[in-house]
Amino acid sequence: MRFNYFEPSSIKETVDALHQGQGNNKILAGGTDIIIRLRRQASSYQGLVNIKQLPDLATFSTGPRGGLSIGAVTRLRSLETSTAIRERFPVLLEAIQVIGSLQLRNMATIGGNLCNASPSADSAPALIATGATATFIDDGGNERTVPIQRLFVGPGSSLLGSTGLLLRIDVPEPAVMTGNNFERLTPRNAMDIAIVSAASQLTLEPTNGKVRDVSIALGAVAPTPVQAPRAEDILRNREPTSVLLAKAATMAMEECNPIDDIRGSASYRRAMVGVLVRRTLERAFERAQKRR
Amino acid sequence: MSKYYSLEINGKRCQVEAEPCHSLLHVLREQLRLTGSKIGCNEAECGSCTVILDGVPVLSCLTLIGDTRGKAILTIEGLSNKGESHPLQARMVNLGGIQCGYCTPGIIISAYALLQENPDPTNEEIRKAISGNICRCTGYGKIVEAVQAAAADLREQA
Repeated sequence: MRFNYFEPSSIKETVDALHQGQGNNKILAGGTDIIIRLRRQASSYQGLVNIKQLPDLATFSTGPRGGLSIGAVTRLRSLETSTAIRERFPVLLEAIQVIGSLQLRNMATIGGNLCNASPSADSAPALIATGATATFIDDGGNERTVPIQRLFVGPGSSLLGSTGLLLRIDVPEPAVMTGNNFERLTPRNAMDIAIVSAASQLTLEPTNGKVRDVSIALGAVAPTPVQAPRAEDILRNREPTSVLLAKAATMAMEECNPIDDIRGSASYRRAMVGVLVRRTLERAFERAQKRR
Repeated sequence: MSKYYSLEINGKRCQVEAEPCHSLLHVLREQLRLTGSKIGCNEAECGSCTVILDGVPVLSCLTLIGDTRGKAILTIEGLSNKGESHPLQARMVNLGGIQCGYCTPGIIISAYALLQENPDPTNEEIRKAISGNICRCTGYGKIVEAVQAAAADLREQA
């Protein structure tokens, strides 16, 4: 069987190459997942469309109204070493710096971490918590923008389908008195996959210190990265006391839908959701108070 | 369909004929006979194939040859100078940072990348820099000592 290899030089050529394969040509960005899957013959793709050289997709920048615009082919390591991200989006730094190894982060891309649609992708809960959006070209060739959580359809399945192309992620500038935090649970510190991960973002009302906005996202406890809307409701417009933060964490335990697998049992995962959500909320609250 | 690629490896230009999907590691070992970079897991877990591509450490097992065009590649073979070992190599040998030796080239390359950026690292920074390189013999303690000693040697030379 002939294996096809494309190096398109524009977005249009990329979309054409994907359609030409009728779903059998796969995008190659960092290559740290797809090459392994092809070698293990776990994928039946008949071609690769290398998008590393596409102009504009490999960089990120601060937008006109603050915030971040991250090209889909941006290397994880270049986000990790950015001063802007360290200072203004610590939740992203915390999620990205634990992915794989340093060598891998020099190759792997933010778009790849998302488009594989793994329920345990570390960048997903962090980006969901920040209210990020994904802009992509869909199967029909139209450009669409959706909240990032809508990108995930099921394990390994995303809204992009077999011929869609993720273009960029936009992260809104956090309002004053906003704090966020990501934490994950793994047996080892490096080179491991999350048993559970959680990210929280809290915005306080400057006049009275009550919760104006809150977002809680969870990884590895459902078929996709998910939010915990009922836990968020407990906090909205209330004073974020430690008792209330703990109550929200307990609600998040009820909202998630984990399974038993090699990394942990469903009941352990559920218990750890309670711990991680409480910790990330507490840390986000501390940070929100400092960011006036 | 194979193509000709012009590469810059350890400061020298060379030409290879390869499929665009062949890995850099495969070309280094099988065509150029630069066998210092090792095949461990061949899937981004072990770090024994680590090389430096345009100044940053990457995994040559997952780097496609087609993506190395116009970039400078540094392998373990490029570290010694006219037959004399680099301080990282010398210290790994004389401080017992090597046992079976299979992970050693990758560890030295990762440590080299660290010292380029940070000539006076803490033990914690060294451990982080080599956290993508798995050693099943030494327990890492002596490796960290060897990197510290090499860093001191290099600061003295500078």
